[in-house]
Amino acid sequence: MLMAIVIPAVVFSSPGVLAFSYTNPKLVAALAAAAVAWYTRNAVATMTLGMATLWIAQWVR
Amino acid sequence: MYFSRPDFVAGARDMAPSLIGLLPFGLVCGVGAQSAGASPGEALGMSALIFSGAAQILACQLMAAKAPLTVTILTCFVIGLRFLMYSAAMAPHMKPLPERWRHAVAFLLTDQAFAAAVRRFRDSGDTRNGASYALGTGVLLWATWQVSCTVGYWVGNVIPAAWSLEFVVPLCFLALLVPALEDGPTRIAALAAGSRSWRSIRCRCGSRSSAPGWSASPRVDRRSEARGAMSPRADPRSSRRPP
Repeated sequence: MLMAIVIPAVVFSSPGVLAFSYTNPKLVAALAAAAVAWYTRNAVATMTLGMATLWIAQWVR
Repeated sequence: MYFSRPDFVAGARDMAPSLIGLLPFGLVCGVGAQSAGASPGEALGMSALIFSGAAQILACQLMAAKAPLTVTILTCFVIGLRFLMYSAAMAPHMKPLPERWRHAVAFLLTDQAFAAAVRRFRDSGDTRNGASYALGTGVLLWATWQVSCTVGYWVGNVIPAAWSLEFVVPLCFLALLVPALEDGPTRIAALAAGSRSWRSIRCRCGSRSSAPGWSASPRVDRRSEARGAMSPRADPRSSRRPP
């Protein structure tokens, strides 16, 4: 059920527009965060690095 | 007398790094409560009593969607299930403590504090030190949580949208979810939930995007998508009102 909240928040760049590509900063950040969550199992590290990745990805784009 | 000041301070000090993640999360919880239409008393009471970001955000979303009260409570209960495990792991160390202490530490238990406190109990081998340490971690995190939720409730909406602070919410759920995907059945359940939400939203957006007055605020839209994604039960038309 948590997945049902995560997926829509990640793959929609704007309402109704699906963005399954590396130019979607949220998708990039979510994948990075998922990797961090898997390896560190630490919620704070996941959120911190996820937000950092999002900001970097938004800035690069 | 079970209180040991140096251990209490050590507990608080060891939790300081995790405040970096806690603060924005609390802000988001405050914003979530405010936009779900909670009164200041309800919002602050919620963060003081529940003291769990994921449960608070979910409860706000479900209440705003007029989901049945039982669904809301059950959902929060399931999210908090891991604390059953934490408590069981802490229990042997806490046994000699008076009931008052056990209740206080149990109420203030969090993921980060649990990991640190169990280590402390094991290393020091002294109930008094471990309990004071656990209390220190809990008091600092709880106090910070109240402050950041309050700030979020009052000023959350002036944070620039470009910061995408609301993205902390899915990240938090990812942090809860990903480490749990250890066996096949859990993975399949997660896949099913994800794809189900994706399909229902696609249909919904197709019919709604042509409607006039489509809101331009990403924050509001994302929330309504998430709400729609929750399940058909979250649909206000099909749900029973909570008593």
